[in-house]
Amino acid sequence: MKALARIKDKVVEMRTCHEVGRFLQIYLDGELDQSRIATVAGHLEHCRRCGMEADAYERIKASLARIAQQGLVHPEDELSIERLRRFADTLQA
Amino acid sequence: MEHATAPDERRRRQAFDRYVVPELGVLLHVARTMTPTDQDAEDLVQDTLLRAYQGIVAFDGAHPRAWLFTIMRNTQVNRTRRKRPELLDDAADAETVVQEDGGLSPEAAAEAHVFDEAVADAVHQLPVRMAQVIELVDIDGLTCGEAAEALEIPVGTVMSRLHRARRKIRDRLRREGFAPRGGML
Repeated sequence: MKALARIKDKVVEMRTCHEVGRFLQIYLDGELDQSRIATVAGHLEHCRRCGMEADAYERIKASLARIAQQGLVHPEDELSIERLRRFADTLQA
Repeated sequence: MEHATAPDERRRRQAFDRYVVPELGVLLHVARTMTPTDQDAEDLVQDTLLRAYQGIVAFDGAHPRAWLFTIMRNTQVNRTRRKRPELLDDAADAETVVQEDGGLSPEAAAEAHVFDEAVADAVHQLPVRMAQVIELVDIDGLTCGEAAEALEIPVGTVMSRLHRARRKIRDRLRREGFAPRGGML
């Protein structure tokens, strides 16, 4: 009976992982509807695998934010934006 | 004696500074999704700025990005009509070059620098349509709704491209060793 209960728990856990996986990015973007937030947050607290998955996305998002600040994807943007700023100034002159 | 239109002109400049100038970077990135080269994108932004400047007096201040994207789209339609160039094509991949990092403690900065290089490279390797949404939403900070407006696609499509793009970035980083099994990514 105990073994059966453990298997049942495992199946429930896997279902929850799958479910959380579907909504994880929406949750991390802060756009998950209220009714699901507690389920996802609660699961992330005790599931190491899903917790690591969430950490991975958080790190990537943080990195993309740094990239945005430093212009890493398009370093040439700074020159283009400066040219556009000068053009905008001429419109207002 | 002050010219009769001076107050209008002042309002125009103030509104332009408030609603348009802060969006130059976003406009450039959106323009890149509509044009084949970076030079075309810059030209498109210039034409958009000109039209925005002319029309800003009538703009009510609500949803400036949506207003600017509409101007940009219309401008691009007119430009395409004028030029009659080759038929529609995806914008070429932009080159990715990585520069130095800063701001954190030396150790953390070094680690972040290597990681950011890998992420920037992963963004560069994405299919064009996925890279577009990553740049607009995760880098430029547009909402999914704003990106949908800019790209003229449904919000659901933006979200699904965004999620797939992040998954691809994560998978690539793992393959490159940023994700040792059981490690930090």
